[in-house]
Amino acid sequence: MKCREAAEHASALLDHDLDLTLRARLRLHLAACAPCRRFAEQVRATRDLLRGAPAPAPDPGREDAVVAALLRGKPEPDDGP
Amino acid sequence: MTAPPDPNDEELLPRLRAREEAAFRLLVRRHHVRLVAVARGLSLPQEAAEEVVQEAWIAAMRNLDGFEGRSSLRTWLTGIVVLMARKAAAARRRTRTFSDLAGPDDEEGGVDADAFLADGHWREPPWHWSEVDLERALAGRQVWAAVQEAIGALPPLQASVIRQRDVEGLGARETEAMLGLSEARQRALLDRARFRIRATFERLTREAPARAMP
Repeated sequence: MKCREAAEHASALLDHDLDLTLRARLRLHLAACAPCRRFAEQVRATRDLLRGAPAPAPDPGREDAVVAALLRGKPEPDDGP
Repeated sequence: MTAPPDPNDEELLPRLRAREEAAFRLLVRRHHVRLVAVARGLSLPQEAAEEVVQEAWIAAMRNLDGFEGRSSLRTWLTGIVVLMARKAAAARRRTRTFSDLAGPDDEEGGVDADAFLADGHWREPPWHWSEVDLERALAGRQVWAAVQEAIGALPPLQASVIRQRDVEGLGARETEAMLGLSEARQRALLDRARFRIRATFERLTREAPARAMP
């Protein structure tokens, strides 16, 4: 396995989404190749940093508009287009 | 004294049914941006996605009695947005040109081909950085803010998938049910999204010495 192929599979490895043969070949490559190990570790760190990140709040103007629409509630049947 | 934690979505239900403004606001603040990302991932441009999600909010809150608690409120809301966004996207396809649709660059951005020599070896090995370097590079900014910024810069479908899978931690099957993307399609999109964000973090850490402390 070449470095490029190893890098391409580094993300699937995190999700146990590689078949046995491919996973074995990848692990063999990673054991022998420090740059690829570093790359795979960084992909893992990236995935871990994302977990649970709170969604950004909407723009205040947008939030107000949505809440106002919810408070107005049910539009009249002939209210819409 | 610490403030009591915000109520979770399910705890908000009685207050939502009572049409309490603060409860609406909390729910909107918590989910709106994510739901817009879901709609964007279904080929709607930003403004159309905002409109669809606003309509979905109204439909959902009007039909709260139809929420039976078999899934989480989050999943239920997402399902409503997906239905309405698909419908809106189909309507747009009938009336607009393809150039209007979001996301041709969703197919781009695997591992950086330029990083490798023709023989498949690294041209330049990955820059050495870790989470600690990233925090230092952000110089007091929240890592989460940088994460959200990086996700926001992704093509819409990649952003939608990585939010579901990595941020929310949902499985491939649940994501397929929500977004209608096969596991193989999710695989490709998720890989590209992770590689892009890794590259963004790498760039941030590399540039860090340049913006030295005053």
